[in-house]
Amino acid sequence: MFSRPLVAATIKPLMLAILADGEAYGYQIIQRVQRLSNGQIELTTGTLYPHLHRMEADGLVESYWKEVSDAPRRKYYQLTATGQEALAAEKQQWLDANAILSALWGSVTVEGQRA
Amino acid sequence: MNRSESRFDLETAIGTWRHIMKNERAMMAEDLDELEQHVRDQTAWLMAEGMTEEEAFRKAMREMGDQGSVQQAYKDVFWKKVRHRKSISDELRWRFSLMAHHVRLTLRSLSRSKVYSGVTIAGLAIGLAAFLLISLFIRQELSYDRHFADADRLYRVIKQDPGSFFMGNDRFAFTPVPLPDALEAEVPGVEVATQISRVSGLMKVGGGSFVESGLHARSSFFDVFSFDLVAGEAANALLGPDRVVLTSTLARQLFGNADPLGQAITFVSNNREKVLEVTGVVADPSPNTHFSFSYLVSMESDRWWQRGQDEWDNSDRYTYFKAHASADPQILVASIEALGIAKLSPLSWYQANPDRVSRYDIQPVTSIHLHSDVNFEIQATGSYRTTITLGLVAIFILLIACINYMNLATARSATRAREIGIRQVSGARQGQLIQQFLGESFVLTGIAALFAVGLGLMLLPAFKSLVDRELVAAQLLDPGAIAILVVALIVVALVSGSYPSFMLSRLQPAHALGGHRQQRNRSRLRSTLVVLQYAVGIILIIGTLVVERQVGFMATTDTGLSREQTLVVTLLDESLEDQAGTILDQMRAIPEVTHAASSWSMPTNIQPQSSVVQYEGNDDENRIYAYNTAVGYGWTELLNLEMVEGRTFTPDQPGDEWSGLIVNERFKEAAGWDTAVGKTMEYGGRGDHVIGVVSDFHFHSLKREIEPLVLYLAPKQVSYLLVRFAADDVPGTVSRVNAIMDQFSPDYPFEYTFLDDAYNNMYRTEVRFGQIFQGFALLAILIACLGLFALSAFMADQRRNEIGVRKALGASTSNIVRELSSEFLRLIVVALVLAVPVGWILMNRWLEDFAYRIDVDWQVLVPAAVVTLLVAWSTIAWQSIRAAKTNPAEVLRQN
Repeated sequence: MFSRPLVAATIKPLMLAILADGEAYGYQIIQRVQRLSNGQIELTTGTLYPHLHRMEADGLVESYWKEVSDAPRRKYYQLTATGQEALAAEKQQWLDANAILSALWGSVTVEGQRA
Repeated sequence: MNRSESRFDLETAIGTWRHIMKNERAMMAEDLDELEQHVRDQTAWLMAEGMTEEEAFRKAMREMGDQGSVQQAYKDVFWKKVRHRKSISDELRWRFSLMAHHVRLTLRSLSRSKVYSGVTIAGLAIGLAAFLLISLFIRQELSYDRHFADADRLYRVIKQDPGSFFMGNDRFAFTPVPLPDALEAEVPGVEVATQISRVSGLMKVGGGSFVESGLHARSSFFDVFSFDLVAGEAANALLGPDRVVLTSTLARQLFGNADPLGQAITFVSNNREKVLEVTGVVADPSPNTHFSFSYLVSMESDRWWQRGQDEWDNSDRYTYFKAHASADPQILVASIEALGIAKLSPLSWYQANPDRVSRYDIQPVTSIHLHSDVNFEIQATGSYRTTITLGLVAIFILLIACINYMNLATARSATRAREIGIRQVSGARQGQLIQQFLGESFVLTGIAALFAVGLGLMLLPAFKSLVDRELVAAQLLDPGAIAILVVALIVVALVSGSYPSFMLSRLQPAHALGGHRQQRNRSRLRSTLVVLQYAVGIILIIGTLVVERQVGFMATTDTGLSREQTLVVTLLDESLEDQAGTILDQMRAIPEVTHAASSWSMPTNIQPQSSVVQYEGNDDENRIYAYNTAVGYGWTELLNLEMVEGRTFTPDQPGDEWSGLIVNERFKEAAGWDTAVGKTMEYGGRGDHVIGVVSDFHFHSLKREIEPLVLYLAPKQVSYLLVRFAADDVPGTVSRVNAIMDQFSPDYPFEYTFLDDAYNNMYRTEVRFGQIFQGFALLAILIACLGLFALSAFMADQRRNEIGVRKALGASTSNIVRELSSEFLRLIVVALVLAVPVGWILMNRWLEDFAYRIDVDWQVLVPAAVVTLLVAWSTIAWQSIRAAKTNPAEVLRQN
């Protein structure tokens, strides 16, 4: 399991990356995070939404309520242009960090590189 | 499997959850919708994986995270969200829901203990009402003359005449006729100057006649004082003789709806009759002006003004000016002082008497009402000291009400500990609890403020007459008053709410829930506050008693002259002075009348004062400042004055009228005479000699020492006719005297008073001061007792078990009553010990104003102590007796 600070640090790039694949509502995002991280990253529902709200307030994502017949009303989030840029920046940072750490710990294979 | 009554129902569970979350202010309805949908999705998903509905819901709830951190997470982002959406309405809704939430909590907790809420609200309401009324008065006092345009540039010139004391003061409001023109011509900082003087007379229009008082005013009056002219032109309305400007009220009274402009009014004043032309109508002067008038007559109509054109040594008018915006007041004073010296007349006399050179000074018009210290004010001014004292009283009363709140709220903490504990356990942090309790105090104070406004409106008429000011109800609700109320509300709510909220929110949940009594420290603080409350109340009671006793002392003390059954008729018609003898003879013919005499001064207020240098035996160095008045035959007999030497004036001695003088004992003492009769002195240009010495009597208020007095006989210098009568039929006598006056001056109203009323009127200020003190002392004690009542109720309640056990063990009711009340009475005694010296010092300082005064001794202090103890004891006793009378069996069974 990831430590709390690490969860806190990864949550933003994670959500940006997930939303880059297309719009989603909160429950979908949580499920994808859990599936992707194999349960390593445990998000409490109660704190996920405030994160999304903060990103929305920062202009990275935007939300709207979607009314579909015979499905409940759900609030969808999608990436904005600013969000795209933020994702690119995050990505670069994490890759840089990864490169530094990989150079230090050469022998260790990082899952991401294998994929 | 599950029994039907405990079957899990998802909708109910979600409803309950939403109900709990609803109170979280940082979460908007939309957020809750989102979260709810999440829970539903997850529950459905988990059920699909094989869980029961209940298990799935519980797991979804668990994954939500603990309530505290969820709330915190939402709260952290809340403001960012609000700003992002720029949604003021959300913010307002949030604010409103916060308030509504607190209001709801408060109302709930209030309705649970009605005595507590009633007492707290009543105390705060009374305190706030007193504060509101007093602040209204203070604002009125501070507002005097500020309504004039350029009020800060308006000044009055006053004059100090060293060596010519009146009532112990050598500063005078009067200045000479030529001053304003000289100011304009010779003092650079003066933009425009004007002059006024009092005038009163009879106005005859058509068939009606009215005695009204007004002002003589220079035409520049409207340039200095910005009055609104309803009709006529300010520039020339008062230019030239025989012109008059009426106030709207007087214009209506004289002419009804007809156009007053150009109308003629016959005006009788100074024994002269003339016809005035109405040249303007001015709006009624606002009551917060330091002079009032119902008309303005052009100064040029006054023959004394015309004669005084070059007279710098005769001061009888009020001079005002408007300074240039850039003028420096200090330079103004210096230039005006220099002007005064240049105009000294006669110069040779002042060169010989340099210590008597008079000096001009200026005072801002806006400070006249509260800060003036000169003789012959144009009308009675206010008192800065009274204003300040009242302000302090207001603050004290509010403080007492705040203390009530603090005491009751902390006393109640024992009862509320459980509620607090539960809130703490369910995640409320200290900050939230503080908010709740502060919210509570705001709601309580808010409710109290509403009552206070109502109470203030109810008490306004009584308060108005108490402070003798024109206050109107609308002033209680004007923006200024509302601002003051809101500020008071916030301060009171913070002051009284802060301590309980910090204290209560710091309770340890375990203690709170376990029912531990954290009483020791708090009861010490509570005791201190009770002591403080009562100490303030006791000081106010001492003040009341001292003022009352001093007023009583002055009203009943023997001042050396008889004031009873003496009618004082004001001779309004100056043309009657010559006939005073005839009128008096007719009055003496009334069977009930025993004496009748004319007088220039009111015998209880003899004016003026002048100095006597040339008296037998003086080496011309000594100077006696003596008051003097013209009197008619029979004056000393009427007032029952004793002649300690010589005789009084008598018609048998025609020389009396030309050269006879009567002095009092003080004068004789000051002159150093062994015997006075036959001594000569130069008085008012007559070669006079003393024919008698009258025993010392008080001819001013008891604030002043008896001073030297000279009486001279002048039966035709008459302002008042004194009539002493023996009968019980007061109205009959008055109407007979009235009939005689009507016969001589049918145009003038019959104006009279009784000598003892006139005497008592001199203490009007003190009487009023006493009444104000009394009123607010009552309020203060009432609030304090309300608090004590509720406090003792709580204490008795808390000790029910103890009392039950004691009674079961054989304690008698009186034992228990004694014990319960002694605890509080001890506090009152401490308050007494603290308050008595303070009250003693304060009231002795107040009494210093009186030359003749009472002592603040046990006769004041013992009643104050007894009253306080009795009132406090009866407040506590009720609760104590109730508690002591409870049947121990019932109390103990309940446990």
